[in-house]
Amino acid sequence: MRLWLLTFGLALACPALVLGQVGEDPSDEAEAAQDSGANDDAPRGVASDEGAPSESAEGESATDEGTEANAASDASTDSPASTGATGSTTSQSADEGDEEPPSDEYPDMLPPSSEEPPAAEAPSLRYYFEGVRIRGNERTRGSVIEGYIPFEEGDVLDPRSEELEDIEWRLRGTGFFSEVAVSLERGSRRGWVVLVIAVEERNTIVVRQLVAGISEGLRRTGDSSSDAVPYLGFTLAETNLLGTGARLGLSLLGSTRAQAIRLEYDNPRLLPRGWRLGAGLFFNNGRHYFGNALVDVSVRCLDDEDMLLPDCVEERESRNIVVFYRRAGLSLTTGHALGANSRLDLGYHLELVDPIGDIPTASTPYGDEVRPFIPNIEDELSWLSLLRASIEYDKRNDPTMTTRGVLFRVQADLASSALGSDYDFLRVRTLFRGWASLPWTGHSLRFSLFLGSVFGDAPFFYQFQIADLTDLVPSQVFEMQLDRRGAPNLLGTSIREMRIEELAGRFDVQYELPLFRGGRRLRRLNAYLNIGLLYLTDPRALRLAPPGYEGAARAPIDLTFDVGLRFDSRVGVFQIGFSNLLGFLNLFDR
Amino acid sequence: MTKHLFRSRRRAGFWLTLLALVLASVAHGQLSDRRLGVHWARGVPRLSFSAADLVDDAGVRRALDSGVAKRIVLTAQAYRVGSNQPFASRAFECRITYDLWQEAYEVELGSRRERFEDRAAAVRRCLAVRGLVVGRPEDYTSRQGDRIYFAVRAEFNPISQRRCRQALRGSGGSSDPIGALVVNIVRRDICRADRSIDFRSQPVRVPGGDR
Repeated sequence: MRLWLLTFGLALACPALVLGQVGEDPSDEAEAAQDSGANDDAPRGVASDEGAPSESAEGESATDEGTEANAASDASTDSPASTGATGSTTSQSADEGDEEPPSDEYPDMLPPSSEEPPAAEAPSLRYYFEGVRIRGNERTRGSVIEGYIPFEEGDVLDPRSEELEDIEWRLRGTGFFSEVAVSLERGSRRGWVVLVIAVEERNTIVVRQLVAGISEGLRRTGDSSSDAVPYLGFTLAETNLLGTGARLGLSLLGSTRAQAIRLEYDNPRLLPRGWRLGAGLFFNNGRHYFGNALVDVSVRCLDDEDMLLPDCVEERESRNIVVFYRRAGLSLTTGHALGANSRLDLGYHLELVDPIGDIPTASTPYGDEVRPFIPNIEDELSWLSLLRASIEYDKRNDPTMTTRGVLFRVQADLASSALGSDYDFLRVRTLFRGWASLPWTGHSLRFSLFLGSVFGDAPFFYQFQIADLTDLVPSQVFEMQLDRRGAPNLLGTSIREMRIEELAGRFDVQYELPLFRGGRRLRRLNAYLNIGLLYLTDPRALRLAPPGYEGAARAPIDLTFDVGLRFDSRVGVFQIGFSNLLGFLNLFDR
Repeated sequence: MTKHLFRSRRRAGFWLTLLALVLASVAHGQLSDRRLGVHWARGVPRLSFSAADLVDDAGVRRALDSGVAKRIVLTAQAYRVGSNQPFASRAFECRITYDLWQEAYEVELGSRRERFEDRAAAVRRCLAVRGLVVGRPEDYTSRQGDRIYFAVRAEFNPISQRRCRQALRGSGGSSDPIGALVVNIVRRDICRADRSIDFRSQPVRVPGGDR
């Protein structure tokens, strides 16, 4: 079985292929100069002497001799300025005894965090803004492009203003255009100018996410053996719907055991004052696995052809309890930037929860004891209505191939009967991540801390799942559990009893090292190693550990790790984690 | 036997591939050489060189004529030969703006502002560097007698990470922490300079010391 699973996994060759992160941090070694106004990457030095001129040609000839003539002939002949503008830079080799700081005519870059233009002595160039001329937009509506232009007719226009330059970056940032050129042309009157925006449109239908793998599961409660099935999920998005600048995304998940579809609409400029508006619809048809060891269940009897026999219930041992359900709902969201690095998002979510068939009556082992199975879901059609708020602070140097910066996010979901919900609960999730560059070029460390808690009566799919905390079993996709396995329990603790709980945490450290840089098709290849400690429990276990566990084993913690490759290609950034493959070896059999 | 051979070849292939990747990454780090004038005064080097080839590109020339100010940033860093950690650094910025109505190029270098009739002269004013001081005397006192070199990067219209993030955040609209694929592809393009060149100097010896 193990061999078969492994072979199958290898054959698919993408145990956890996640498309999602792209971007190039131009050069890591000079990021200390971040935000200086120049690109973060300063010239890169090379440790090797290879290719350098021979020592005989080295700079002794130029040292202290005042020989500038060999180099920069352009400089010596054409530059209208001369060195030593301050008069203190005459050629002398006095290394000592001179307290005057050396200087030249070149202004130092402004200190980091300040990007004010240098003070000018003469009045600077100014025009009057006459209007806009847009070229090259065949699909994108002119009004969408004009929405990025902050000027009105008659405004004074400084050709050096950052606002003018930002138009280009913002338009490129939409993803609608492969080229954006901003220029000025003479207007109809002297001193007036027309802003010309020339764009080249690009394909805006993109794959936003791709997830594939193999999951282990059961066909139904009562099965004593599991099998593995492949799954595939993706999100396709049209990011410039009908040229309006709105985004429409379609997500699909397919597997013999779980199916999901999501439709999401997002318009960043539909609401006034820069508030975005989003709406979404979703439908999930899946199953959730409960119990971490053989469980005793009461199930309806089946005949030889797997048909239910009337009025017959039998007691059986099963590897898990399986709850089948359908969920369908909608959401409305809005959001706004809170300064340069933060944003606020608010939303409302309404869904219908429909358990399919009977929820099994069962009991599960809990340490040395056995306790009844409580599914945390109404056994008939129920409503879930919640409000969501999240704040994010993002100061990563790159959102994908990050090497420096921090990311902090806190999100709260509040469901209440006051909102018409059959469930009353509050869920709070907090994530902090920090990145630090190491002295070796391209090497970085990431520290990550996740904490989450649920207060009240949350259905199981709003609680914390072991699959989302450990890297050694497939994570949930579109909030759907795909794999029946519990925690690997590498430390032999009471985490074995925890699967879907109300308190969760994870701390991990990730080391990323470059294997390759450069090339047109493959721009960068990194390897990463992640090691973490996770924590999952319910509030009762906080007060009283599961019976049968002593000492440190009472703490419901476990180790997790992942090793893999991340490569930045022309198509996008791919991450291939090998932990899922390892998981299929069942080395850590429970 | 055949199986063993096949396995050995596969293993050798894996290591060769890994070696090739490592060598390729090292090779990518090489910069082109350019002879720089290096003149020592008061314990610090003064560099003279030209990076005017930064504008040897039709798109860059068009951008210079666009009427919108364009920034040129020059960064010079000093390295000890054999190391890739800079120990001294210097950067400055120069802006060129074409005056549509006067038909002249205005060059700003710090607080100075000068006008040139033709583009080439304006570019030379920014990119033909004379006597650029790199570092402070104390950066070099402990390195007397050492062989060092200078690496130079000239960038046309770079954007800072802060402004890049700001620009993208304003147009994002997605709460996805990873971010859309397409946005990130675009991000690669926009968070770097329109054009940049890099080169390194010949090795020079820091004056003083017995080495």
